[in-house]
Amino acid sequence: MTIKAMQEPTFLILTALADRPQHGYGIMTDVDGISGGRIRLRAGTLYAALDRLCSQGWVQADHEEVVDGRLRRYYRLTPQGGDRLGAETARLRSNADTAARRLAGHRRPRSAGGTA
Amino acid sequence: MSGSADEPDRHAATGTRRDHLLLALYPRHFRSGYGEEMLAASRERTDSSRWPTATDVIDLLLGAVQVHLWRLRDADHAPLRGGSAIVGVLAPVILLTGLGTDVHEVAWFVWYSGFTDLPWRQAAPDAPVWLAWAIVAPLALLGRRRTAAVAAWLATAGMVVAIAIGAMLPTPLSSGQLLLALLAAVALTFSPDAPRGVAVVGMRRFLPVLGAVVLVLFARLLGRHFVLVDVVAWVALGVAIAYACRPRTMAGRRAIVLLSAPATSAAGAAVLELGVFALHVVPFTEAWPLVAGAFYGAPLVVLSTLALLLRRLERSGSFAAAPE
Repeated sequence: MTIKAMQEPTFLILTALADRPQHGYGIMTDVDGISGGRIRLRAGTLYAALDRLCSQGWVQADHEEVVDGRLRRYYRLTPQGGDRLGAETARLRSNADTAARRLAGHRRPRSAGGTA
Repeated sequence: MSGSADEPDRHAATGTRRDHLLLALYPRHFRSGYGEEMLAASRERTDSSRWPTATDVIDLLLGAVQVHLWRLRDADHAPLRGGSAIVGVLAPVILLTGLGTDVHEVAWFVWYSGFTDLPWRQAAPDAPVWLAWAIVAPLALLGRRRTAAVAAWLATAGMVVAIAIGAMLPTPLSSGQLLLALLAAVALTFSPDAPRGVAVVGMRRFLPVLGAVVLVLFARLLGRHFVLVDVVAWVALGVAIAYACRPRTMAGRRAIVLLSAPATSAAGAAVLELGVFALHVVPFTEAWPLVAGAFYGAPLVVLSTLALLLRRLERSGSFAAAPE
């Protein structure tokens, strides 16, 4: 069965949660760091994704804390989410390995041959 | 000094109102589950004194769109799929009533002048359109969804061309026929249950529809002097369609909404035409864009309104669904 490619923000959110349970702002900061500043998640996009990931069973709420009078909910990766992240990682690695091999062949100097 | 004492309260009230506005587009369950948490995370992301920036507002709006789209995709669409399957098999058969005028004209010529003298292009210029639906109908009945879908789109395109070149007059009736053609083409293309259309309807319920279509064609053959026969035939067709759709099921109700939209939009366009021309509200040449908008825009409004109404009634428990 072919697995549909995952969008990069979703991949990075799951990657952030693979390390440890995190709250929303923590996920945004971690994704910033993982992507080298390329993907800057904002709250609307993040929580829409978390809602979807929770309904898919890949993410679930872990625990809550009160910080400065505000409730912070932490999210964690579920075993199903881990499997899906693993499958996506394998797919991307396979594509990257193929590209690397072909690039190596592309850059190798061709043997000299000449016309008379 | 009372002004400065009131400042924090006014500021808090403004902040709460603003938060409510920013969350207004999200579904209720999302607001209660994630709303405050999301706004707090958004404030942490941006310098609090400047929150919300234009980027924050756009992000929150886009988030609402994403939540709604995901839920729409995730929702249980089984009733709509079943309804589309019913439309896919009934609509092409209903469209065969469009042959009525051509049947009358051909019969008149044959009666008075003979078949060989029949000027086809004058008597039945839109015959190819209806004959195309005569091909779509059996394909849909046999469950050949892809072939029927292609033929349906070609027949619908042919209908548009016929209207554009004057082979088919842009009347209220033709506006309803065009909507019905579009619904048939879309249902055959996108409904995964379309191949089972006849099984969903049941042959016992399908045959009265076919019989009523034949009755309508017979009434058109008799001509405008037999108005009562015409009325009885169309009423019989309406009753047969309702019976075929199984109105006690959710899929059947959706099919009825879809199939009634062309009829109600044609009626609305007829009323508008009467109002525009009979009351001389606007001269004909200036009224044409209004009439065209009514003919082809009214169906979309009618369809959307009926679908929304049905959904509200079902959610309020007004219609309990029988087993499909």
